[in-house]
Amino acid sequence: MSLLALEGVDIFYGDMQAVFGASLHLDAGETIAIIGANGAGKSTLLRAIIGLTPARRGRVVFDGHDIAGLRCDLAARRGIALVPEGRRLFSTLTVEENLLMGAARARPGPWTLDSVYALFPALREIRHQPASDISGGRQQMVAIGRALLTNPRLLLCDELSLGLAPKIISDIYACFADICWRGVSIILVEQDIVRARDSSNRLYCLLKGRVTLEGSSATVSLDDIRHAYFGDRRS
Amino acid sequence: MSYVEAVLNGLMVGGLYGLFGLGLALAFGIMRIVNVAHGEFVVLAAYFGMALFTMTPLPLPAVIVCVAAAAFVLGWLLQATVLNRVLGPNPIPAMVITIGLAIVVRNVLVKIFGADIHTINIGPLQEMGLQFFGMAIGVVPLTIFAIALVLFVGMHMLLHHTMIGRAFRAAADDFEILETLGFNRRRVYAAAMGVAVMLSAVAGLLLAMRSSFTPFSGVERLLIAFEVVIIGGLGSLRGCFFAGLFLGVVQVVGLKVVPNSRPLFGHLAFFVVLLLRQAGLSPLLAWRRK
Amino acid sequence: MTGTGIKQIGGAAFPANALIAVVAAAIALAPVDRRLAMEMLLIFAMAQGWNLLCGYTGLLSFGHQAFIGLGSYVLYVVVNTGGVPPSPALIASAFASVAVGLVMWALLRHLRGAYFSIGIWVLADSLRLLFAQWEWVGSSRGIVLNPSSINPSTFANDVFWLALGLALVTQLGVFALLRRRTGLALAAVRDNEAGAASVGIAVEHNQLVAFLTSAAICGTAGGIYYLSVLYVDPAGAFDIDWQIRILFIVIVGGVGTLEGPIIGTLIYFGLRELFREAGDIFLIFQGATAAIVMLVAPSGIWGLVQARTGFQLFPTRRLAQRP
Repeated sequence: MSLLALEGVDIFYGDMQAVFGASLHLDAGETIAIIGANGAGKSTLLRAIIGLTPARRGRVVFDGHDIAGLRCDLAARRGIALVPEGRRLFSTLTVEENLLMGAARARPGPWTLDSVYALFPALREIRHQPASDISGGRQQMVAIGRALLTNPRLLLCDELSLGLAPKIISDIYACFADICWRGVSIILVEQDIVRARDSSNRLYCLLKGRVTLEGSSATVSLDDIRHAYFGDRRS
Repeated sequence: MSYVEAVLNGLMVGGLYGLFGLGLALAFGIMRIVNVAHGEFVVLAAYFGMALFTMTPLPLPAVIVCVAAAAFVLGWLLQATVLNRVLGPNPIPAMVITIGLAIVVRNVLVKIFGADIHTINIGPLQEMGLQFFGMAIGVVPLTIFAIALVLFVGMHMLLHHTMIGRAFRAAADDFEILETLGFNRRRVYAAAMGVAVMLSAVAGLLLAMRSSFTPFSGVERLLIAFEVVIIGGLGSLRGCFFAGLFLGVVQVVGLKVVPNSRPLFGHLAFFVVLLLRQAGLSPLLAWRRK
Repeated sequence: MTGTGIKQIGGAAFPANALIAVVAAAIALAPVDRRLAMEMLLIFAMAQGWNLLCGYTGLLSFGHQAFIGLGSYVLYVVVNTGGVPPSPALIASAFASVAVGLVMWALLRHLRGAYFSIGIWVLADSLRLLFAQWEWVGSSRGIVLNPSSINPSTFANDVFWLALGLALVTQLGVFALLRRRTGLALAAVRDNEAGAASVGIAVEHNQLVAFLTSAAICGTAGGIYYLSVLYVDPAGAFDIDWQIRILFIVIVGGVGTLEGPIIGTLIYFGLRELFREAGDIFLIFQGATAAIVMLVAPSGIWGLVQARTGFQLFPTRRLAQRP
């Protein structure tokens, strides 16, 4: 059962077109990865799904309803949450206040403050610190926790590994099993191709705003990925 | 009045100045909107309060509550129906709209009440004073200061211990992400403007009990509010409060030195702070583009 | 996309300049009420100068009444105590406005957006208060112009010619400025300061040029106006109403266009005649109109015309040359 389907989506920033006729789909319970170089349109796609940068043409079908053009907060309330690129925590709020913002307009569901602290025990100790004062890895945990607290059905993760040490990235990805188990479907945007492939059921590759590859993460070859990623065959 | 009394008086009126600044700072910090009609709303509140007080049997505390409620609604409506349409990186539309509004309010007040000077006379309480270490301190100024203090504490509680207050602070930090958490940005802004106008209205009403006002007093109130924000810093509640106190003292003491020049010393203090700030903190003064 | 030269302006200057000359001649020769014409020409010049700053660098000033007041007081002081005839004394008005403008810029240069707008308002208010306290210039009573400095029989015409001259210089000058590279730089600064800086445009230099030019124009216009009424006082010369008038004219006419202030001035004076009986209501109307125009048609009347027809009376838009 398809939870999310993008059909022929065109996205513009002002007069500049960033995404051309993109189509993808996600079934409930799946984790899909979207990979591609900088500026390929990956983040733009996520912004269109949650409504920050509405698609100008095409359909964004979530749970059977076309939500293209729906106001962002309404799309979010239907069960979509974003872990944004660069974390984007509320810098003048504390760790716990950031998390509470996630819970404020939450749908009913399993995620609570306590369950997030159980997922990320390190956060409990720093809960009263200003969000701007903590390390990058901890910030990423807060960003994920904040998004989870809205009890989404679909979690959009934009470049989780950006600027973080490998050990920390591994710790964070290790939590994903727990997240999926609780019924959240995930879209991962990643520049780290291997990480993306290993953490997802299927993947898509974007190049200059167009989908150039769709495949099962288990069977797709690195060669195919390289071709789709860079757009030419490199020997 | 001795200099010490002048300082004390300055401190007491400074509490109100802090509230003026806070009203402006809330709107600017959260929505990046400068409500140029801010001063006119303050004066409007004074006239409305005066009308209620003289023409209805309502006691003073009830008048204050009425004015506060009406101001909240006014601020909400202003944001929801007009200012939410000109959100964006360009500050000019909001400023032109609100200065147009200021002109309208000012001249409507002239038409209704005339250009004469008014004050709100609250009866025998006006003259009462306390003796404090040999100095006379009015009961009214003291009470007004106490109310201002209570409002500041109340704002702190609102911003740090309620959901809507946290939403205000989050909106100031990153309104896009706030939307992704399911908050209707426009409604948060309307509430913020409601609170901002309400604070300033109450302050304006209180000020009217110890100072005279005309329909043209709005400009002076706006410039005070602005100076408080610049001196105290945009994001700081404490900053607004102490900047208000500072400005109050500067003005009252300045009045002793050069009569008839009330805003001038405040302006001078503003420039000095501006110059000092240029040396270190210019990023703080640059309007943030989002 | 290499070799795209952005030099060609889509439209020659000659027809527009010729038009200006024709209109000026018409105003000079026709039997108009020269007092009213003088007022219109002066406010037009102020508006065009202010528009150069707001419409082309994005700096919205709520304080240009400072220069109007300054220019007028300097004129009075130079004429009364220096014995200089009024016309050359105007040079002092312009010069003083530029000098004070430089000092103001030192205080305001890092401020942007609303901080700049209200900051300059504070400066203007400070000047008003200072002049109202300053005994040497009559404090709040003001100054009367030395009667022997003017020729009563030619006076009305003299101030008219001065106003016409200023309006002409302003229009031709601003037009020429915008057709040069400076004009392109200014528009770039207005649209995106950081972007402009990143392509090497000296942002602050261009803003300063626009600021000082607008100051000089307003200072001179203020000087001519208060010369014509033979009396100056701080409440009038530094009145925020000057700024409100200018704001109304530029916003309604079309901010950021050369044609806007012309239309705005005509509309302003037309409406003033209409509202002759009801002074308060005129002010209310001004305020409401400026607000509504900003909400509904932010580029003003000329902006609407330009959007529909692309017509430029004073061509300043550039076309990329095809290689």
